Amino acid sequence: MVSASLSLPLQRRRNLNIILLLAGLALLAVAPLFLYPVFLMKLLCFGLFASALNLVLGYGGMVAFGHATFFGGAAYVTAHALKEWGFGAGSGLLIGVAFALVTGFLMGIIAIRRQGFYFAMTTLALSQMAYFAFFQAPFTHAEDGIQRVPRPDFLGLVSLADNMSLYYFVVAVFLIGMAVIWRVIHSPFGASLTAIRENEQRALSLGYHTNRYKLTVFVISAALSGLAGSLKVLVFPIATLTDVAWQMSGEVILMTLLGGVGTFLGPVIGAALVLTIQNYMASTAVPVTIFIGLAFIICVMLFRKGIVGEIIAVLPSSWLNGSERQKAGHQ
Amino acid sequence: MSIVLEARQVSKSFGGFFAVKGVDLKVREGSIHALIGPNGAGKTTMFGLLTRFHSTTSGSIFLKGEDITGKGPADVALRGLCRSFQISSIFPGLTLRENVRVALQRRHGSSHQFWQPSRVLRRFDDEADQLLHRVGLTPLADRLCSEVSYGRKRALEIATTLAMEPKVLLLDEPIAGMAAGDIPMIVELIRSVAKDRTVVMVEHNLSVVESLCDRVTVLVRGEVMAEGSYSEIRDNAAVRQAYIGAGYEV
Repeated sequence: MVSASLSLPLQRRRNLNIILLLAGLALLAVAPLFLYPVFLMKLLCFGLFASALNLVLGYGGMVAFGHATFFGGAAYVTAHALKEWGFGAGSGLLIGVAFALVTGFLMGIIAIRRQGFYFAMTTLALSQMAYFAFFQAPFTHAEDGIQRVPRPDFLGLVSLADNMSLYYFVVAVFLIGMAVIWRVIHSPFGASLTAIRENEQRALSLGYHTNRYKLTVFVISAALSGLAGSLKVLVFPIATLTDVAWQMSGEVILMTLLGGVGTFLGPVIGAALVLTIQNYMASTAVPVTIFIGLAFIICVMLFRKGIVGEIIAVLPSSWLNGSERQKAGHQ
Repeated sequence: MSIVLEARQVSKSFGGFFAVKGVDLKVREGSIHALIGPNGAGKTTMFGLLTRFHSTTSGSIFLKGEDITGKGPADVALRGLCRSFQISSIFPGLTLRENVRVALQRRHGSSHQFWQPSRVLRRFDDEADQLLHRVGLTPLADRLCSEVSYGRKRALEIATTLAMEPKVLLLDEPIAGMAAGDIPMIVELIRSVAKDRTVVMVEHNLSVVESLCDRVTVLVRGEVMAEGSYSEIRDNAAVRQAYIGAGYEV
């Protein structure tokens, strides 16, 4: 038994994880009874998007500034497939993910040759090229976007016409995406990625072809971002330039930073915070970007580890693994 | 003894300045071979060239007869040519055991598995613990690297490199910056690991070179000035003039 070999603090941590998982599932199940389901679905889409970015940003240590291409690009492809080709919900999602995966590979294979600032700028430049390609492509209808996208059944069995049934479908897809992320970061590959982020030179000297690992995680991140973008088209039947613009890439970085870079749930919490500010402050006379900017400044000044990062920092040191202990500042 | 590592007329230029110029180097299998020379002689650049962290401007490098000039650092590490760094190079956010495990999972070919749970890595714990025991770090296995002393980090670096089971081990100033009390431990460790592999080391401490090394190559201004046993090098007037200084007794 694996659990028998765990120390007591780690067993407690494991139990805490299980309790958090069950509480999270219960919360997801009852949340639409108290909150507007469409808002919750938007939150889940962006939570998945931010978590996907976090794979590259938090676990890969690469500041990617072009993830809107995967999110918005997949949204366009799925919207077109649903509206013009009559795809079902499942195949619509899959073609969006496939688009993001291929685009992620092409962007990644160029960008990972550079590091730090140059990597960020390369991803930004490539995503701007993608933006103008989408702007010019006839199928996107430029500023009009693809509107009135139908919401087909899933596999011809499950109707998604009703918001509540769609909500539980979105929850299922969100959980699958998060499960993939959990598996990737808690795997031998995840351990390799941590080592590369910690000291790439050393990893190279130990036989790691570091660019291959970075490309792999970049492609996985792109594909999951695409899944989030495609899912959003099912929720809001429209695909527009907003989702492929550089501001979207910046917004998802902000969500990740606010929630906690390199923490599993941080990006979801960050997405919830940003979307809540956008939702509830939009009707005020003050532009909503002011509130988001203030939230970011407060985060940078007072809790640089992000919301979840700060919570981890107050957990007992023995509950944490090495990386978490270092991030939390425990000695 | 056969030649395990060879450099033929290797040069490296940085913007027109030759840090290494036309170096020939032959390292015999099973030997401990030192590269010495004053600061700026090109020793660390030569290490970078041998381990392919630097590309050569000209010349060729052979590992066990295979031309590795076009290979990358990860390729040569997987072929058994592994290095340590001048400044201790570890994974600071990982525990000592996890550091060694990083090398073990690569050697055993499981570093790409993203579909497996990370608990499968525990199968490497026994081997990691044996390596930590070998360098005297067993009591610190669960400590974060950032929490241990510099000397322990150097020992860990050697343990991590040994986890790759290298045929040729390149140590870049293995005792640099260490407390005097830690030096005998590292010297004995190098002597111990050299029993079943070739070691190439850059070192400034000549008493360490004398006690450990079978062969010494002297680099000065990027070129080989002399090569031989320590006593031959010690008695070489040109070396004493250029490296140690006129009138200095070794």
